[in-house]
Amino acid sequence: MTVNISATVGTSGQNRRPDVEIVQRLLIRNGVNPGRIDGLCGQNTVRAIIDFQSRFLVRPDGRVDPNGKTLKYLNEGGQQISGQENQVAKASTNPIQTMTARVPKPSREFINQGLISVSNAFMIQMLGQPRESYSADCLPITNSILRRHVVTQSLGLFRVTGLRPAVDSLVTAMAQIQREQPAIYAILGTAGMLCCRYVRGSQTVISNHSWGTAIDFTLNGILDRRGDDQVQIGLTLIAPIMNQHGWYWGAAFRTEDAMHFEASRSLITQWAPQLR
Amino acid sequence: MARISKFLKIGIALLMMLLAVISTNLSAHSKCDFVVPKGWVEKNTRWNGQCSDGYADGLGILKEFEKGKVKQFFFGKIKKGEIEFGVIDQPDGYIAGKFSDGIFVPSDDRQTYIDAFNVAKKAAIKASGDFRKVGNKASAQFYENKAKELNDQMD
Repeated sequence: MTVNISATVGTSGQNRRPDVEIVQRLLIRNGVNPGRIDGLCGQNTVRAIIDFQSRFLVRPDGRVDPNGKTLKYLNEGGQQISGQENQVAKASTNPIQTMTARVPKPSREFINQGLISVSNAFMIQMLGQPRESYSADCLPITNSILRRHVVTQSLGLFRVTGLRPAVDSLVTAMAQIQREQPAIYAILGTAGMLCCRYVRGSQTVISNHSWGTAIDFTLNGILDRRGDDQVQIGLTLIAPIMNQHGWYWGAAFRTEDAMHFEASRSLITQWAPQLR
Repeated sequence: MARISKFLKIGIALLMMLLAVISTNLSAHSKCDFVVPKGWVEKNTRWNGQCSDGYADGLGILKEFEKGKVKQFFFGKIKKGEIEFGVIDQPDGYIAGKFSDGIFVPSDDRQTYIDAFNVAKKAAIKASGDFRKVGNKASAQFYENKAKELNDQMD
């Protein structure tokens, strides 16, 4: 019997519980163990998808799409893979050990749905300049109105400093990450939130971190490498949760920046009245 | 004959003393001890950088090899043989900041990350320059590219 799923399961997937359960059962049928059949897409399920995909893909991506190739092979169960694809499978050597292992960055159509990233012009219009002057190093907000709203708070295993509504939003998002992705929550850290400075190499464009509405994550203390179009698996699993809370994922930037999440236009628009 | 033999013995003794002195001096000049970061294999690791008093000390690069290829790098500052500040460049990404006893000291401070990548970039630039001086264009270009990657990591 052929089964289908209603939405993507795996890295950057919607991971609806019934769909995840279907994929978990299919993986077991194909001799790959995703851990508990619980309808939750965690590291074990993603690892199992990648292990299965390595049989026929040179670059497994940890995703099962409705009507996609991976689902087709899962449904075929113990059927043999064609000769050509067997050669591809032999060349594949991608054992996945941890959430910092990397996969190709997801297609833009699957991430940040309904969200728009901010520009300097938009931020200045909505919130004002954070300070009068900038350098290549981090400087504090001096804008007296914004400064009143700067807070430092614990997000579990690390502390951040940012604008209050942004930090509050992160607290809520982190609580959901803790519930739905506890293994990733346990290894999440940060390379900082608030930092008023120029974007590297520029004397005019300021970093979106300058308003305290952007954050860079680490996993196990490791920063995802910028610009190589590969992203850490753990980031693909928390990105949908961050998106749900209005945070735009930097994996979609022209130069991939998967460690980076920033408040989207809709969030800034929502917060602006309370920051005046 | 006995006199020649006596002079021969003295000569050999002097020669051996001279060789011992030369050998000591060579060891002193080539000694550049370091402690590998936690998890690295010492015998597979090399230091390219400044040395002082027999220890790796200053700006440079540690490289751990596996099956003939570089598995991971440390770009940054070493103090008396121990990594102090910089960036470990490994397959899953970067570990950046301070190190103590070969172990990363996590920080939430963004400036620490910015500084770490700046120091790492300088180490890569220095390595590129050193290789260019000895005519190794390929290595020089490799480290020049690395310097750019490190420079571009933090927005």
